[in-house]
Amino acid sequence: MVSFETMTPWYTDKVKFEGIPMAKLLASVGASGDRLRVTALNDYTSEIPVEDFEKYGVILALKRNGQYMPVSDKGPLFIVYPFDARPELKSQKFYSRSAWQVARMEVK
Amino acid sequence: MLKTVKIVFSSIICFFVCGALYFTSLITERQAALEEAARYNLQWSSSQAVIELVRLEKALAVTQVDKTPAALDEVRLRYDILINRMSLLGGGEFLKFLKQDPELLETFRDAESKIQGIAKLMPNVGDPTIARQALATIEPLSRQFLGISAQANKYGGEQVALDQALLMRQHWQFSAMVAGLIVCGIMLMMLLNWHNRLLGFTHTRLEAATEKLAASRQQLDAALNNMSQGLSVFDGDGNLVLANRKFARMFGLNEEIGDQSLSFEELSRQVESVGDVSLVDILHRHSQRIARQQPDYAYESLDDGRVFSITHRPMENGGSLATFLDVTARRRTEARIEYMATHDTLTGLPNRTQFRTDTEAAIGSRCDNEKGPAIIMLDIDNFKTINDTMGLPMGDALLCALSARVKSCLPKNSSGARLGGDEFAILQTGAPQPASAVALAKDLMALLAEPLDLDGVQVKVRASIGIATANGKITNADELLMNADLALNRAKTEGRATYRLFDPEMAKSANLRRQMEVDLREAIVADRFELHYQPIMNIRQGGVAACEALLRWNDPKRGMIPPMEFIPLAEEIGVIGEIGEMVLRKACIEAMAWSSDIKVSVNVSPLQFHSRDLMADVAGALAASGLSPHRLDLEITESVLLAHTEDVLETLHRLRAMGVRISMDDFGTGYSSLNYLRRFPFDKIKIDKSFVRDVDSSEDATVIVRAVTSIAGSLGMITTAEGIETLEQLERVRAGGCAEAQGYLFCRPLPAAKLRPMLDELAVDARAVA
Repeated sequence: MVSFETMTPWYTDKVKFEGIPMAKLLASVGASGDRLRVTALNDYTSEIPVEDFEKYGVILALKRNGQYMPVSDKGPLFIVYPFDARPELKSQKFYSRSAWQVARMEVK
Repeated sequence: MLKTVKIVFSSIICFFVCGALYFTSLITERQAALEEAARYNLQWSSSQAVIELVRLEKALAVTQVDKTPAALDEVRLRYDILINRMSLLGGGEFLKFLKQDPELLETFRDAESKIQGIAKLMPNVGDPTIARQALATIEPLSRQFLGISAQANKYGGEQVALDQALLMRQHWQFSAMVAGLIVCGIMLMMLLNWHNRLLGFTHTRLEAATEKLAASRQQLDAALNNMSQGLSVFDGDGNLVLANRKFARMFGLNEEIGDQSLSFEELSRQVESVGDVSLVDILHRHSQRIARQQPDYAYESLDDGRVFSITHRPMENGGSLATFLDVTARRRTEARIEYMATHDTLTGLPNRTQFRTDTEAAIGSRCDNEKGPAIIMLDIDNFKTINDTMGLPMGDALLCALSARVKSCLPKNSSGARLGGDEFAILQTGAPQPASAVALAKDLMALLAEPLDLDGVQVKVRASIGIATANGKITNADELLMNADLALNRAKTEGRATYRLFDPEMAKSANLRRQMEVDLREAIVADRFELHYQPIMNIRQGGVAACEALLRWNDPKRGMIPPMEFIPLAEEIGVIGEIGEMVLRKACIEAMAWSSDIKVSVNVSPLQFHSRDLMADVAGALAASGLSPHRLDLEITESVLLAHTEDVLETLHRLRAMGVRISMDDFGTGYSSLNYLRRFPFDKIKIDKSFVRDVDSSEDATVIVRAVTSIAGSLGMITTAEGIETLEQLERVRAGGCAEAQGYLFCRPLPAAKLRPMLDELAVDARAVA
C-alpha cells in the first residue's frame, strides 16, 4: 500500500490517496499488454497506456484521506495519478485517464 | 566614434537580454495559460450528471416492473454514482464555475438538496410508490442539469474564447518580441557592420599612415645612408640608437648596426674586435665628448692614415648627435696645396716663399750672434746661353740635376731652395758665421766644377755666389735676403764664377744706385739734361765737319754727371729710349743753328734699336727740326749688331735710305769690328782713343791706324780719330790717313751756347789743315 498527497481538479484542497501501485498489481496478476481499459460504474471508459503506471507511479486508490471511498464518493476504487508529482500530469489528458468508481479493468 | 558605437552596442545587448528574460516569462505565462486551457472539462462533467440522472430515472422506472434485487441494486448503484457526481460538481473546479453565477449556484444547490433528499428513500426503493416518489422528485432535475450543462458549455466556450484571446495576445506578444529581437538582431548586425566599417576605415587609415611612415622612413634611410658623413645618435644612457651606413663603414663595423639600438659596451666591443687601436681611442674620446654635453669639433687621426673631422652636438635628453667626415683626401689636398705653394714644382726644393718663412724663423729663433743664420745665394752664370743653345727642356734638366747635386752635398745645418729662374739659395743655421758659409760656398764652387751629365751631354756650369750673415742688426728675412742678393750682384759684376761675402758698402752702393735711379727718372721728367757738343775737325780740308752731341746730366745734388755714369743705368731701367729720343730731338734742333755743312753726330744705344722705334724717333726729330737727313750722323758701337742682327741691319738700311749717316764708334775695342764692317756699309769709322793715345809712342798703333784707314777707304768709309790731344797725335793720324779728328786739342765738349762762337773760331783753325 502506497500513498501520496496531491491537488486534484475535483477537490479544493490537497487529498491523500492510499492504494496499490498499478504496476505492482499488474505484475502480480501476471498481466502483460500495452493498454489497460478501465470501465467505471457509470460506464465511463478510459484507456491508460501500461507504461504510465511505472512511469508516473499510478495507484489504484482504496482510501481517500485514510477513509475507504463509498461509491458516492469516487469509490470503491479510484485509479489516480500523482498530479502534483509532475507538471505535465496536470492536464486533461491525465485527468481523463484517472477513473473513479472502477468496475472493470481489461489488459489489452 | 567608437565610443558611440560601444554605447549603442551595450544598450542593444541590454535590450536583448531584457527581451530574452521577458520572453522567458512570456513562455512561462503561456505554459501556465496552456495549462489552464487544458484544465478540467466542465461540460463533460455536467453532461455526465445529466446522463447519470437519466440512468437513475431509468433504473427507478425499471423497478416498476422488475422487482429483482439486481434491479434494486442497480438503482442504488445509479444513486451512488449520482451522489458522487453531485459531490464532484459541488467542489473543485466545478464549484468555482458555479460560484460565478449565483443563480446557477442556487439551481445547483436546489438540485443537490433534492437528490440528497431522496437518499432516505433508497433502501425502500423496491416499493413502487417510493420509486415513483423518487422519480417525481428528480424528474425536473434533468432540465436543471441541462441548463447547468448549457451554461457550462457557454462558460467553456467563453473560457476557450478567453484562452484564445489570451493566446492571441501572447502570440502577438511573442511576435512583437520576436520582431523586436529581429530588429535587435538587425541593429546589432548593422552596428557590427558599422563597427566593421569603422575598423576597416581605421585600418585603411592606419595602413595609409603606415605606408606614409614607411615611405618617410625609406626617404630618411636613403638620406641618412647617402650622406657623405657618418652619423651617430646616442641617447642619454649612452646607447647608440641611430647610425647610418657611412658611420658603420668608417668604424669598420657591420652596416646593419644602425638597425637596432646598441649599448655602448656592445659598440665598444665590436669596435675593439675590428682591431684598430686608434678607432678604439677615438670612440673613447667621443664618449667623453658626449659626457661633456657641449658642442664640439675635433679632428681625429687614425693609424691607417685616415683623418676624421668630428662635429658633436648635444641633445636635450642627454644624448648627442655627431657627424663624422673623412677629411683624409681634403687634408691630403690641403697638404698638397700647401706643398705646392711652398715648393718649386720642377726641382722639388722649397720655393722663395718657404725660404723666406724659414729664414724669418731662423732669425727669430737665433740665440747666439756668432751662430746666427746665413744665406748663400747662387746664380748660374751661363744659364741663358744653355737655354738658348740647348733648349728649355735641357735647361730644366740642368736645374734639376744641379739642385740634386747641391742637395746631396748640403750639411745637416743647411737647407736649399730654388728662388726662381736660375737662382738658388741655401740657409745655414747654428754654425759659426761667416766661416761656415764661406766654406760651404767654396765647397759648392768645387762641386760645380764638375760638369753635369744631362742625358749624355756634358754641361759645364758656372755660378756666382753671394753670402750674407745675420748679425745682431738684422731683424728680418727680407733684409738678409737683400744683402745676399747684393753680394751676389757684386760677385757677378766682379767677374762671375766667384763668391762674395756681403759688405755693408754693397748696401751703400746699392742705395746709391737706387737713389740715382730715382734721380734719373726725375731728371727725365724735369729735363735736367744738357747736350754738350764736341767738334769733329776735317783734317784734310780744315773746318768743322761735324759736332758730336754728348749728353750731360745736370743733377742738383751731384752736379754735372757724364754719360758713362748714368747711361748704363738708364739702359738698365729702360729709360734710354726716352733719353735717346730727347737727345736726337735736341741735337737736330741745335744743328739747325749751325752752318749747313756741319753735321751733328748722335750716339745711339743698342737698346734704342731693340726696344724703341728708332725710325720714328729719327724721323720725328728730323721733321720737328727740319734738319736735312744727311746732316744727321748716328754713331753706333758694334755691340748693336750682337743681338737681333737681322732686325738691326734692316733698321740701319732704312735709316740710310732716309739719308741718315751711320758711323761705327769705338772701332777696335769690340770682338770683331772688322767683321761688322762687312755686314753694313758704314759711312764712317771712328777709331777709338786708345789707339790714338798710343800712336805717338807705339809703331804698332800707327800701323794699325794706317791699316784701318786703308780698309775703310777701300770700303768707301772715312775715318775719324778720337781723343786727339797733341799735335803729334794729330800728325800721326793724319799721316795714317784719317779724314777727321776729334779731341781736346781742338775743343772740349761745350754747351750749345758756348759752341756756336767756337764753331766760328774753329772754322778757321789752322791746325786742322794739313
